Amino acid sequence: MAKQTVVPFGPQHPVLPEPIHLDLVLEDETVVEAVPSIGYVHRGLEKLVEKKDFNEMVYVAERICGICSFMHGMGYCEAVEHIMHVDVPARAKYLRTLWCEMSRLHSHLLWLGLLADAFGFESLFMQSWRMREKILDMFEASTGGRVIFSVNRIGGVLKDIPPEMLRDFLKRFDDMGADLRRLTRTFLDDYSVNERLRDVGFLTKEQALSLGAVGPMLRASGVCYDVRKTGYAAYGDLEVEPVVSTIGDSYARCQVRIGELFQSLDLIRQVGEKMPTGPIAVPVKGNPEGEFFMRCEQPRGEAVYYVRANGTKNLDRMRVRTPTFANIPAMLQTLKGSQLADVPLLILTIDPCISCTER
Amino acid sequence: MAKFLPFTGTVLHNLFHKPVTTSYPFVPKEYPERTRGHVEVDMETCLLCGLCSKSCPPRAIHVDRDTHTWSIHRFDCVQCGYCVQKCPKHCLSIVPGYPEPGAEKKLDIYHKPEAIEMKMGQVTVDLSKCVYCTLCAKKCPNEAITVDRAAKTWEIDHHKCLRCSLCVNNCPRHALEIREEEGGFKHPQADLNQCVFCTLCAKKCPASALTVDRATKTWKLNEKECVGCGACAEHCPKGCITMRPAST
Repeated sequence: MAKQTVVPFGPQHPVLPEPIHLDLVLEDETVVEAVPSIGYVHRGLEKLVEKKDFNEMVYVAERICGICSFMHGMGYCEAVEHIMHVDVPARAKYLRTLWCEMSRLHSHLLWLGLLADAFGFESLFMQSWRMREKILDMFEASTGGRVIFSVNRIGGVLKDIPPEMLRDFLKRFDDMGADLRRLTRTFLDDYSVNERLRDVGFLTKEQALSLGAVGPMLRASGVCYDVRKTGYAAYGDLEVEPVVSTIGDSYARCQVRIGELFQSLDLIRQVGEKMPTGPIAVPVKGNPEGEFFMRCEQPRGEAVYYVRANGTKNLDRMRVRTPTFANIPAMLQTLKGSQLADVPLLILTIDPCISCTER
Repeated sequence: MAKFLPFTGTVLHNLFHKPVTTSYPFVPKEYPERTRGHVEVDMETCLLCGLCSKSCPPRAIHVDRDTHTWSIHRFDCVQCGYCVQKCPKHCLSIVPGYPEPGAEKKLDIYHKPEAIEMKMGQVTVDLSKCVYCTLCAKKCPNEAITVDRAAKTWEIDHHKCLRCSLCVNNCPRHALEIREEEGGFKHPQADLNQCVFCTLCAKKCPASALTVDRATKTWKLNEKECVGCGACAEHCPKGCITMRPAST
């Protein structure tokens, strides 16, 4: 048996913008075991429920993460709305869905760029981020923020999208579809990209289920599971079919995310067709009392919000189970048996968001 | 053949087209109308009620009724726009244009143009009720209160005090109160002979200080919650609410 060595990986690494540390146990160049340690960016956001009232917490919740900021805010709002039995107007639900899908687009394009950067394809990285930039511009025009949107409130949304702006957006998304198809050809068919992604980091269906993987990680292993099918926001009225791949390697994860980009474009088109008219928010009186588990599908996977309220303006507890946290055990599984040179890429294929994980 | 030089199209396109990036800072960035850049305050209409400062999630805004100032820590502000929603007089707005970068964290202070009559009372303590639990000191947003449990002392720095009444509202023993002065802070009073109990005042109250019951014909004001903004008097369809100096 070869001699085992331990190589510390992170918390600072050129591929990962966020800090996570792994102790990699190696035999020659092969990883036998990976021991993770997190806790470098813990901010104690959950504890803040004791200081901020439940309306202010919307702004804290959406600052959990800079990529799925909208969905964090929305998940929290929907949880409190369920507790308070608030009937959110249909238009607000559709607007939330639209912004959710735009978030998914920009998150997946960001990930594709990072992936290209990780295997050293600089121009592909720039092409992905050029497209992402257009979505950020649309976010800024409709919500006022590029990264943190602050348009959610308990009882609806704060800003409306006028019909002419929506038409303009739909046209821009149509143009983006053509661009995306060109980009996809490189990601899925290019020889050098295939060499880096194919047959690397396998996760079988059984492993994915038993390790509790979520999101694209789970769907790339052949499990058809998407929380959007539960019909939160306006997803109940739309046709959502999970994008699934049965291969289970890094290539499959890339394939699923690219499939979801086109799915998001399709959902945005459906939202544009079905967008109802009417108010965008209802007034909310009183304080919440009760508890609720809210699940929503973020770009990285299923996020769970647990909110317990005691009838005062401060909540008892808010707990967020973020998708990256659920995906870490699966990531460690894919690392076992991989080559040291593939480790950064494999960590990246779960689309890690450490700020989410540590809150 | 399809795989032969797959990027030729991209290369040719890039050779004959302008870059997608702009030459910032020579070409300044044009912000959309809705961009949340920074908070602006209209001091002419500001009442210094302090609701913005109480609701600000990062506590970036401070309102001082003594010196008639409204101030904001630009570096603390996260541009969420919650203060704009909460402002009863709509004197706050979020406009495009990000704050200037700086070498130090400065406080931007805005003064009310005319020194209006707005002498607020002072926080006083009834020491026979106080148990020195330090809750008031913990709640105080400006660290104006110092409580020493061992030495049994309770002190307040009236210059620092924002009159936000958070300490008064949170005192478990009800030992604190704000003594109002003549000509100062005003509370609404309703003429119940004219009042039709339409509940519009209660709906408009930004501090939820009014309770109106149409069935039992009662109109109640929670003086501790009232911020004296006058929104109720403004919206009363019968004109039966007047703003009067608060009773002590």
